This record gives sequence, structure tokens and C-alpha cells, in this order.
Amino acid sequence: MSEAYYVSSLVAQMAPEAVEAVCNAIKEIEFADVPLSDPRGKAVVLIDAPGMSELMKITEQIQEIEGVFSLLPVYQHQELDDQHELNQQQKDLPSSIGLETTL
Amino acid sequence: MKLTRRDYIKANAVAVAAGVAGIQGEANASNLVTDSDETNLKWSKAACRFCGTGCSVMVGTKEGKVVATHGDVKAEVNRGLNCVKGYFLSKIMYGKDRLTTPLLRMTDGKYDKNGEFTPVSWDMALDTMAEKFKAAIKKNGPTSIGMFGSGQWTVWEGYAASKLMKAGFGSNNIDPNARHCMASAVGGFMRTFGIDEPMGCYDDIEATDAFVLWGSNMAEMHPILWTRLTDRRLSAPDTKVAVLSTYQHRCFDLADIPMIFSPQTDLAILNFIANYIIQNDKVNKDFVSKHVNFRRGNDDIGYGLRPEHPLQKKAKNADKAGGSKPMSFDEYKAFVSDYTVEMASELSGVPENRLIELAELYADPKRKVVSFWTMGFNQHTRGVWANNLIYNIHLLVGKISTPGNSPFSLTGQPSACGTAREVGTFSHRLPADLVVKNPKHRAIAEKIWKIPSGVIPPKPGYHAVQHNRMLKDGKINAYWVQCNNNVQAAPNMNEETLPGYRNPEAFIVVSDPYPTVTAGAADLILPTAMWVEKEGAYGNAERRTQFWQQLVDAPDGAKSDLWQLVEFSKRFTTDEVWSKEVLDANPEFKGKTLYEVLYKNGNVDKFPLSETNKDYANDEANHFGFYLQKGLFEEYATFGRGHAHDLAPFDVYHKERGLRWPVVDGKETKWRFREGSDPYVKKGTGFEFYGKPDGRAVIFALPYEPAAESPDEEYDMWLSTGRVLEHWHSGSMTQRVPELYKAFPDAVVFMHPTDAKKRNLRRGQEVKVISRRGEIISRVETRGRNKPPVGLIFVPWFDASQLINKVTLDATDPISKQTDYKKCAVKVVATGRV
Repeated sequence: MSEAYYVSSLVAQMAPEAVEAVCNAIKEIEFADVPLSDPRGKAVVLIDAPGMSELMKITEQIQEIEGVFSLLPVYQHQELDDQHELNQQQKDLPSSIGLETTL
Repeated sequence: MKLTRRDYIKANAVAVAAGVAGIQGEANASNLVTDSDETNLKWSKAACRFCGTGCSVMVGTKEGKVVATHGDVKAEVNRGLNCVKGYFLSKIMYGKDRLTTPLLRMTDGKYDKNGEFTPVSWDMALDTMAEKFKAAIKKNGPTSIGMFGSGQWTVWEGYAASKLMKAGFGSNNIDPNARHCMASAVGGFMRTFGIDEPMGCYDDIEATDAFVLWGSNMAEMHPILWTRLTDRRLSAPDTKVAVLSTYQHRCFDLADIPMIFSPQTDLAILNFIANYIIQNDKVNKDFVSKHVNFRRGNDDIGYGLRPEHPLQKKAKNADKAGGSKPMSFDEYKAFVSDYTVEMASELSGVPENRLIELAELYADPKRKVVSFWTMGFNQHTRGVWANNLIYNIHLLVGKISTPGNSPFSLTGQPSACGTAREVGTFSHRLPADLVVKNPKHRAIAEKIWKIPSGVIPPKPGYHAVQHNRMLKDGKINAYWVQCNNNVQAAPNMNEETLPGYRNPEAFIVVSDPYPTVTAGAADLILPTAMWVEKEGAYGNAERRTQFWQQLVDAPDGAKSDLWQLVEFSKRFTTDEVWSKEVLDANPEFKGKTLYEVLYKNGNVDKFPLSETNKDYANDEANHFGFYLQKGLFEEYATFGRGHAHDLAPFDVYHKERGLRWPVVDGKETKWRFREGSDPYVKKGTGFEFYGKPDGRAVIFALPYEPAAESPDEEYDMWLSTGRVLEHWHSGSMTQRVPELYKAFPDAVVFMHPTDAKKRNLRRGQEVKVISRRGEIISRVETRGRNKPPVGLIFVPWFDASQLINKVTLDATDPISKQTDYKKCAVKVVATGRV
């Protein structure tokens, strides 16, 4: 059986004195983890989310944590179960311009 | 413990991020990265598809599909980082409406300009197209066909296209969308230095003490370079950042010297700085006396509008905009003496103390300074002047070509430099800065291309804005657009672009992966392979040439631009396109196809299939039976090798994370024009601007002149258009990535709260933006990332449902022919709906 993947890694930058508090706050978010951190003000964030909307929400949540200067995306892996999943993701996009509607 | 595939993928993700952050991970983490058996991913490098920064990304494929990407830790440009667009690169190829079959407008089984798009075979598509191109050439000659290309073409696609047009069809009517983007930068380089592209490189960022941004929102448009700039500012606290713009944007968060100026008055500020340097005796006299000439440029040069426009008729030098005469330093000194701090401040609205702080960054001999600019300078009716004027300043103080001293034109597109400029896909250019009007240059090109003398026409073709005007006027009758969305991008859509595309006398072909606005206005649409669905090469803003392999197959039915160009050439013989005189003088060419003349010419077909990399597919090479990309590149590289545009051998680029030309004896060049750094500079000269015959760069005396259209009583606001971080250009790729679409779904009208209040508008309210040429419906935004001053609105152009180029004016720089998308007059009114 195939399996969906929404795996991301990011680098968070923060003030050195905020590293512990920020990392703890990230770890409290479901599907997010901090496998590595640097007391000088950096941390590696890993997200293994069940879907795209969760992934986006988690990223926003991390950005809003007090003390986070920046959240730089590094790695992203999205492997979908099937075409249905892709269609679901794209259902809210604007319909294609429509070849007849330009004029 | 047994590790699952998911565990390996996660460990891989952590290891890459740890590398980027410079954090030591667990010992086994980095070992996992290469363990592709466990992750079932194949990793390969590629250049990012989007902007001119030229980040390298690692692309993970599985079962013929791109499923993962990450910033390339080995790349000097981005050191493992991505911006948000680059982060979602893996998803740009999988929009639900990818085109997979040619579509021809037909009625009752026959081509009909007013017919419905109908699926046809590739043979029928290309045959119909060839018939239309032949008919146009037969009736009105080679100037009646045209091609509009791109700074997003790969190097060999641009080269194959330029060759097809200039050496095959004998038509110079080929221009890239880089005309909208970089033409003023090119004009500036050629006029001041006689050779195109920046002398410095991104290493300047870590070497400097001051950054000045002139009309460049790097935080959104070049985010990775902005990250490097921010790191420098924060790690070297004496570093200063000055930001000049006509509206406040994200770069202002970091600005030590923030400056909002009235549109067009940058010209006065630039001349003020030169005056300040001279008045305060800060001219580097030794440098100036050895390496600089002074010239007075023609003024009153018009606005690149149609000749019958009153502004054009009034301009005294509209027909000799690029002209100039020699002058002395003292004459130049007198010329800029009018630009006092009081005058510059009054005109620009920037406080005097800020202007002096800014001028000091350049004048202080102890401070290094990098100037960055993009569309604020280039999309300007005096864009070439703005480029010349910033070089004036750097040359006066000798702050150039040394680490950290760098006037740096940033590029918009991924290969505006590598393809549009270096290959020379402009209507007046040939490869390696050669130009069609120079008979010696044409002779060089005809020799390398092995074509008879006289095939390349001496007269430059129509430029981008002129293409649409000439389609409308019935002068171009067969037209091919590749790799861009020019109906959405070109100015004054209502009066020029759409009437041109829908002119019954014109047959329009558009090659694109997706049904864009331009495709919708076409008569024939060709479904096109994109990015890593083909082998490619891009050249970035710091002269870095980068390659990638074909990593996945295109969807069935879609073909690359290169395949389309070369396949199309098979449908023409020389007898159908070359003049009788040329053929009579060169009878051995009679009856040959353009495919034989241009691509099976002994150069392009020189490298056998066996030289392709067996680990990767190569659809084009396999189709044509030889290593087409390598042959095109090596023939192209002949133009520049030994002429200060040296490129390395083809195979080297597949191993490197790019190299900055000139590459001489295997070594790239970081700083040009300086002895010891640039192999072309003669010993003992110190500096040599060898693009000019006497080795001297030129300082130009050029005045402030007003914009083509300014706000008045009825159209009472300035309009500036531009991009946003999340979307690339017209959004045809990024609007199809759900994450990016949701991050910034619709264009808005960024407006000052006072302006909104004055018009009784609330944030979020629906409004019309109206100019003399057209209108769009949008919504008011009084908060957020862009904060315009009173009297100016900013509207991004990515949104196909809000075509802001219905509103813009097609005024261009008369020298570069680049459109000014930053200045026209509009009014904003409520629609009456919520």
C-alpha cells in the first residue's frame, strides 16, 4: 500500500537566550519536532504532517512563536497517496484561465 | 531497531537542515543522506526555475516524478537555503491543467481565427504553422514574421531560436521578455563599459560595509540574497543599509537610511551624489584620470511611444536618443553643480540630512559600498540613464571591481543573463555582445554558423513593445511566443497587445505548459515540457552558468521548446526563405532544409548520443540522434572564447555548481576589469575597462527629466506595478501550487490609509483602478507588506484575473526600449459593490 508523505525540515533563527523556550514551544505542536538545536540561536525543525493543510498551519504556528526571528525552509517532500489527493489539494485553485475567456 | 523509509526520509531532511544551519548532528545522520536505496529517491542538482539569483536545488525523483526538493548545501549562491517559491518547486509541473496536445482554433475541421480550440496532432500543428510562416514571408518578406522568447529559455533553447530566426529565416524580429526586465541594464553596461553584465559577484555582499538599494525590493524578489545581506548587516554592526523606493516595502525593516522619493526623481538624487562627491573633494583623482572619460549625453529624448504621440513629436532628440559628445571633467562638474542637496530634496521629497547620509556612503574613502538595483531603475523611461548615473558615482570614487565595491544590477529572470543577454536573443544582438548592425560582427556569426554572407539582416528587428504594435498594424503576420506570458506581461493590453494578437492578419502560436492568458489569445497552442523535464542551462546575475540533466519525462504529448524549434526547422528549405541573390551566389545551399543548414551543420551534430549521461533521459538527443544540447552549447561558446566571454567545456558544468565567466584555464572570474582578478586586464594597468577601445569607462552627464505621464486632477495617483514574494511573474506556475496560491491568492491595491479615507474606501472594499487606457477591478489593502505614500498605489501583476497591464502605459526608455511599469497616472474609485 502506498503512503502519503508531508515531510519538511526548516531552520529557525532565534535569540540565544530564547532557544530553550522556543524549542519547547515547537515540540508542543503536534507533528513538529526539534531534533537539533544550537545555543547560539538556531534550531532544526522537522515536520511530519498528515496533510498539506496541517503542514501549512504548523509552519504558521512556529512563525508566530515569540522569539522566532525567521523560519527558513530547507527540505520538502510531498508524496501523495493517489491522484485524488492531488485533485483535493488543487480544488480551490482558480480554474484555468479558460481558453475562451481571455478575449 | 528497523528503520522505515519514513525514518530515512526524515533523517535525510534533518541532516540537510543541520548542514544549512551549521549544526553538528548525530554521526549517522549525514550517512543516511546518500542512502538512496532506503529512501527510494534519486537526488540530482538543478538550477531553480524562478528568479535571477540562481539558487541550486537538489531534486528528489521517484518513479518518474519529482517528489522532494531541498536547497543545495554545496551551492555557493544559496548554501542550502530556499525561498518559499524554491521550497515548492517540486509542485510546479503538476498543475491539473497541464497541456498535453496541440490546440488549433478551428471551425468545421479547418483553421479559423475565430474558431474553437481543437486538439490536433503535432504534425498538423507544425505543418499549419509552417504554412502560415511561409505565406507571410512570401507576401511581405522576413520582417513579417516574429518571435517572442524569454530569459527563462535554457541557454541552448535561446541559441537555437535566435539562430533559426536570424540565420534561418533572415529575420531579426526576435526579442525576449528580458526586454521588459533587463534592457536598460544592458544599455547601461554597453554605454558605460562597452561590455555587458556586472563586474562583481555575490561575494561582494560579505565583503562590503554599505548596501544601497535603488528601486529593488530584494526581501521579496531576491530573498536568498537578502538573507545574505541581512547576515552581513547583523554580523558586522558598522555595516549600513540604505533603501530608496517610491513606496515602503519589507527591505525598510532593515534600513538604516530609509528614503521614499517621488517617482522619477532618482535621477536628481543620483546627480546630487556626484555633485556632493565633487564639491567635497572626494573624487578619486588618480582612478578618474587613468580610467575614465567624460561625455555629455543627448537630452530631451522622448518616451518611446508611437511616433505620432505628441510627446514624441515634441522631443528634440527622439531619433538620436543614444547620442553623446565628449566633455571635460570641469564641464561635467559644472553640469552636476545644479543638483544641490536643496534642489534634490525639494524635487524628491527626501529630507536633506538623509540625502547627505546617503552621499557620504559613497564619498567616504574608508567605506566600501555595493549598490543593488532591479526594476526600479530598469523599468524607467530613463532607465539607461539611471544605470549610467549610478556607474558615474562608483567611478568618481573608484569604488568598483574590488571586493565589496560593486555597482550591481540584479537580474529578474533565471537566465536573463545566460540566455537573453549572453546568447543575444534581442532584436539587435548576436552572441557574446556582437550586434547585427556591425558588418564585422555579422561576418563572425555567419562564419561560425557556416551560412552565406548576407543572410543576417543588418537592420535591428522590432523590439518587444514594437512587436505588439506591429501585430496590430498588420506588419507582423506570423508570430511565435515561447516560454513567457506576454499578453499578461506587456503594457497597454487594451490598446496594443490584444488588438495585435487578434488581428485577422496575424497567426499567433504560443508554446506553454499551461493555458495562460497569452495561450488564450493565440491561434495555435503548443504543449510544452518544462524545467527538469529537459536538460537545461541557466546563467544567473553574477555571470554564473549552471546546468541540469533531464530528471523526469514530460507528460505524454508535451515537447520542449528546443524540440519544437528544431523540428519546425525541418519544414523549410533555403529556397523558401533566403533571397535569390544569396542562393545564386551560394548554389550549394539550394534545396537544403533549415534543419540541415542550422543544426545538422557539422557543429551542432558533432557529439554522438554515446556522450549523453546514461543515468538520465534526454528526449531531444534521442529524437534527433545526436547530443543536440552539447552541440548547440559548444558552437555557441565559440563566439565568446578568447573574447572575454569564455565558457568552460560543456561537460564541466554538469559537475560544478556553476562557474562565473570568463572561465580561463579552468578558473572562473569573480571580479572583472581589475588586474590580478581578471585575466583580460593587461599587466601594469591596475584596472582596464576593456569593453571600450581605450580601456576607459565613461561618466555621462545626463539630466533629470520628468516621467511620460504624471498624476493630474482627474487621474490623481501614481501606479507602480511589480511582483510579490510568493509568485513568479504572471503566476502561471506558482498560482498552480496550492500552498503559494493560498499564501497570496489575489492581487490587491496597496494604498495609503489617508488616500483610502479621502475616497471613502474601506480596507477590503472592491474598487476600480482606471487609467486613460483601461481599468481593472481589485480590492483595497491599507496594511501589509507594502506601504505606499499618499498619492501612489502599488498593484502586483501576477493575477490573471486582475490584468493590471490593461491600465499601464507603453512608454519605454528610448535607448533600451524597456517599458516603464512603475509610473503612470490612475484614479481609484469604488465599484459600488462591497
